[in-house]
Amino acid sequence: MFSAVISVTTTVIASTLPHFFRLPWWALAVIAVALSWRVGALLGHLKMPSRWARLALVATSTGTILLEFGSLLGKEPGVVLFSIMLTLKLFESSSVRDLRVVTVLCFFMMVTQFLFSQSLYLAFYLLITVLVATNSLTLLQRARFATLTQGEEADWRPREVPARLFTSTFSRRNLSLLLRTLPLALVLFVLFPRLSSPLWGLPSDAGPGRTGLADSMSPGSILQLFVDDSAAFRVTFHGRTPPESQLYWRGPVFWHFDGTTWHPNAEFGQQDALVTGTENLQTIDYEITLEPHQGHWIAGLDRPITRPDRFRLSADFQLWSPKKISATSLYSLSSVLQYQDSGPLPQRQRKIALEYPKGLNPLSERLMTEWRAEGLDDGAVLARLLNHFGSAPFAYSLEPPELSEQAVDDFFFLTRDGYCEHYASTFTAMARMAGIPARVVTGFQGAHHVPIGNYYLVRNSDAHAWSEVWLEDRGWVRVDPTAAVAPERVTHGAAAASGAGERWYESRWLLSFRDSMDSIQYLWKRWVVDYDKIRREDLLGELGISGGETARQILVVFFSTLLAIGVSVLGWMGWRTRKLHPLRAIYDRFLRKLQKRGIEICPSEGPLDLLCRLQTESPRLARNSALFLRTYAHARYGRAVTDRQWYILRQSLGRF
Amino acid sequence: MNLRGKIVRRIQARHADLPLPISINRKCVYILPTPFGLFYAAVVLIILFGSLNYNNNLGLILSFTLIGIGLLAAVQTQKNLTGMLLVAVTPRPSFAGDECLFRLRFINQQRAAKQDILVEAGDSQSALTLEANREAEVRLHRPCPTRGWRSLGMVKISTEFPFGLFRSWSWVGSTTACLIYPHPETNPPPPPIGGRSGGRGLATVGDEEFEGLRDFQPGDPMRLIAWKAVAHTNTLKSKTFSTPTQPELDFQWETAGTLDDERKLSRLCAWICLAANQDRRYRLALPDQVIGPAIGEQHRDQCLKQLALQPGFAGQGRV
Repeated sequence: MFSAVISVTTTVIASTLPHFFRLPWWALAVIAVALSWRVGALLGHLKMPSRWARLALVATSTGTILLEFGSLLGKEPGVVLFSIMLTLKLFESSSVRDLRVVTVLCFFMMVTQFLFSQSLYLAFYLLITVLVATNSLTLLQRARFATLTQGEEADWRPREVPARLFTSTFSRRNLSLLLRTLPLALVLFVLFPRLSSPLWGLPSDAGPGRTGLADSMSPGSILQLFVDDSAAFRVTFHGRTPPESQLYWRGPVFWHFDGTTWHPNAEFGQQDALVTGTENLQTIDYEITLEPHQGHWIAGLDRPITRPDRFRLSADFQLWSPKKISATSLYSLSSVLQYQDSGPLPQRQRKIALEYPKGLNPLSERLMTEWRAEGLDDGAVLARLLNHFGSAPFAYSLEPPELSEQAVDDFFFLTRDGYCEHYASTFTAMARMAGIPARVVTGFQGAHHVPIGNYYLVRNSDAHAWSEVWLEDRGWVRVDPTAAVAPERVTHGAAAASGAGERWYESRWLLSFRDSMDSIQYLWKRWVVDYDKIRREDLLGELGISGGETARQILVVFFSTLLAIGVSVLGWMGWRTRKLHPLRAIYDRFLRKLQKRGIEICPSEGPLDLLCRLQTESPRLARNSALFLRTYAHARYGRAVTDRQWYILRQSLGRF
Repeated sequence: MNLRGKIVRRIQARHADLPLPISINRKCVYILPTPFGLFYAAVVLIILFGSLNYNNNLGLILSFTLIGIGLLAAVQTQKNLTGMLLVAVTPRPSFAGDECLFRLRFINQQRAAKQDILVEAGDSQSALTLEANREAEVRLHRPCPTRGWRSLGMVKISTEFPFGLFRSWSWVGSTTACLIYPHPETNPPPPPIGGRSGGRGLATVGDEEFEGLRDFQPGDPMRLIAWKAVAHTNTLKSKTFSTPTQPELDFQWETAGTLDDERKLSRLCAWICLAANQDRRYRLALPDQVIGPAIGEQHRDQCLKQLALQPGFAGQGRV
């Protein structure tokens, strides 16, 4: 019983541990104190807290949760409350029944982990926790059995904590049992039907929080992404792969400028793009696996010309999804690198693309007017602007000085120091001042090739902002002012361009290790976490099981699999443990041979008695079997079977 | 009798009165989930449907793993019982009003150990653990209020190993019965001195003064063996004493006193036990037979057996 309580406490700790960084500090303190108290009470040093104390603790915890989170409903407050109450349940009583309930509730606790993360590491950890839980159940069953046979107080005295709690024989047996359930779980996982839409409502926060590109761009908004090395999406190219410097991934497009922040235009966002003139162009076909970011943007290579049915392509060639991206999404796209917009720029777009807060940045406005007065056309103006950026004193850095409200003037004339946001914003604003329609495009630039899985990885730290200008004979043209000032940004990433030095993770061996880990993560995500209805039907189709939606087919597949696995597991176990003691097995074979010769076998007869009987019934048989029976009697009832005896037994049996 | 009792009786009837050795195999082991097992199943189903609803694949893996554990636990629980052999049921006779003891010996024929097995007969229960290819013994007590043959009844062997999710059990009914002697009367009146004197040419063996040693003869009381002499000479020797011979006792049915037949049996039983304790020679005369005169354990057992098996009188009899 003592070891059972220790084991159940360990199970509670194990199943709650991944929440360690998510629980508020006071909840962690409460849980730690409660668990230590429980162990202290078990050892006899402390008394169990009274019912009132526990109720008071629950009340204060609930109150604190309400204070901190505002309500009890929702993922985070629910998890905090559940973990505190699970820990306190350990105090309720020491009966086997209550401890069993606690152990089973630990399984629920594990499920709450999956609301926050479904990573591969968590899956391994889950198996360990299940193993600990099965150990607890074994100990509890033992304790109950002891209580049944020896009375209530059996085994209640504390012994030294069994150091072999986790290595004893039943622990090994539980481990082998757990390993044997994995094939069954795997088959069930692949074949079990999935729902295409939920049976009941989805709470709004049934998933991780929002990350990635934002709905607006202001200085500093992309900066926080530069330190996020997590994957934004992964790309598999079918056929031609463009060079890294041409990999611009299009995200949110911004039209409205208020002096510091850029905003999108809802109207253009809702309209559908008109894609024409792509017949003769060479397309790039690829597949993207997009990580969930709780937003609506969809990544696509500049410019996407096709879209999956469930997404929309807006008039400003931005891909977006009506539904929030809360799960990893897989989709195929085609893009062209050189796209020619046909026809004139619609009036509405031109008007908005030329808007800027007039008079806010007088110096820049005057400069543009001067350049126009020199007779420069659109292309020349832009070229000169880029030239300025590309030469001193403009520099690229991730820690530029702050800009005032007159952001354009400050940047162009004063600070001259910044990263892609600043350059894109300033460039677009000044182009507008020069009368050239322009807009800001954010997204990602570049990709990292992972040879193991043969895909390209785009991280959040590859976020980028650039500009698009409308030239009369060419339509919207991408211009990346950052490339002018820091070309290595485009080829080596933001941090490298800023001279921050090689990051620790970019050393060669670590890089390949990271690649392996990432491809494992990628495979895990693709085949386990995001194994949804569509994937399952594809897989079943490939396996030859026709994917009809009829319930009967599903049931047949399900139950036949269950049966097959069950029988095979049973059969293997049966074969393994049904083997008799080898001495007994040899004797059985001998008896069967006798039976074939017409001798009746009496189960209560020993070998020597059998020999006597044979001597009366059939002397010839008795002669042949005398050696065997005598040796067998010696071996069976003697101390240990020697090799010589084995030899004699086998030989005489063979000759019989 | 309610429906459940009827079903249990019918199942038990299939296993009753089997000759030893009784093999406990798959055909006679039943298995059902325990209440805790049903609770576990409910929780797993909740996790399963919750994960299906939110398309949480890791939750699905957890629920499938738990389902697999449940299934394999059922298999293990059943395997914990099968492959056992009940080879011997040894009763130890006792007196009416006491409890009689049955010793059951089990053999584990398999390579896997068996543990946490509960062996029950009526109210008496005992724990059984069998190592691989080993035997073990279990003791069960049964109350025996009346004299005669007392059978063990149905023995239930059950286990919930390893997780307590399932319980598997089997019924074993052996024909072995225990002999229950009549309850000896407390403080019986002294027996009448036997009519025949101890002569007849038989050498009597008394016990007061040490006379000498002689070779052990089968039938000599054990407490007369001279162990030190045995240690020296390596053969069994008995002590002899010279005493005035004590008269042989004669217990007779007719002269046992009271009118009540069962109380007569109790009195005779008490006399026999006293005589046997004092190593007196005695003879028992019953309506249908005469036993003795003799001395020793075997004689005592024989007499008590005949007392126990006396045909039933009104209100008493076989158990």
